[in-house]
Amino acid sequence: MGEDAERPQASVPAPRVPGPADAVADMRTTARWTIAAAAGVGALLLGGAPLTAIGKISGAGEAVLAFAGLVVALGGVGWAIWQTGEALMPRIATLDDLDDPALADLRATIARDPSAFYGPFGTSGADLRKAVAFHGTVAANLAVTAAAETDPVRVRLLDQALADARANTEAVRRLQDRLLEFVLAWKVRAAVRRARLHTLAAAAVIALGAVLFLGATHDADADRPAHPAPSPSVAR
Amino acid sequence: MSAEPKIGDVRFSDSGEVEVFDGTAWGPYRQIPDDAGVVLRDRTEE
Repeated sequence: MGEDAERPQASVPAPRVPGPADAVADMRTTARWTIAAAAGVGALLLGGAPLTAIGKISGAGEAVLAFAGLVVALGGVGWAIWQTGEALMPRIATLDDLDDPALADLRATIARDPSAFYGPFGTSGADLRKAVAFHGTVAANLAVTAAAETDPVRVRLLDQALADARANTEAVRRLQDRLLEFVLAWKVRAAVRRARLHTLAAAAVIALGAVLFLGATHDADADRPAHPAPSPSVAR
Repeated sequence: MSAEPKIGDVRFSDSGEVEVFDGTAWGPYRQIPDDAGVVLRDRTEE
């Protein structure tokens, strides 16, 4: 037992943790599916309904009504596709976007545990920027000082400090990049949520158009029997 | 005449330690432990 415990464990790569970039890809896939579904409804409306109902239109009034219904329904489809397509548009995210009203819940999450997002480098995006500049400047100055130093002891000390400065710069850059990814993910999330609401409204418009179209192409004669049914009589 | 130190300037202290000016004072420079961690799980907390 003792031997096994003392033997160094083979390094197993840590499982990859899903990040905000994965969420962005997932949300954009959702938007693509929504567009595909809306396009399917549009194809159904254009390809199926007019062909089957064209013979049932009699008169200019019904033709206008059917046309209006089709335009309204297809307008709804176009509206849903347009709005959902907005969620797929490329977005630029900066740390200043964290103040965007649409990112209020992200700000609230960060406020609950700032160190989880900013680490030991402050409590705001501005602090992260300052930390990047500070540690980067320190690293540059240490490199210059080390290059001019001749005392081997001092060179070792400077090299160690330079390694620390580079590690600090890397750490704060990592936090900054991750925060930017969160900002981007929340912007896309806001766009997808907005698109969902528009798609819901567009569904109502599509339904309205379908009702108009079906109302105009409804064959009222088909509902009427060819011959009036004989009135029921009770013979006793 | 000594120039005012700028943020990020480095020097050796009297004890031979590397010091850095952080804008307010000179101090030793070390690697800062980064123990921050946030995970984006499948479900976000609402």
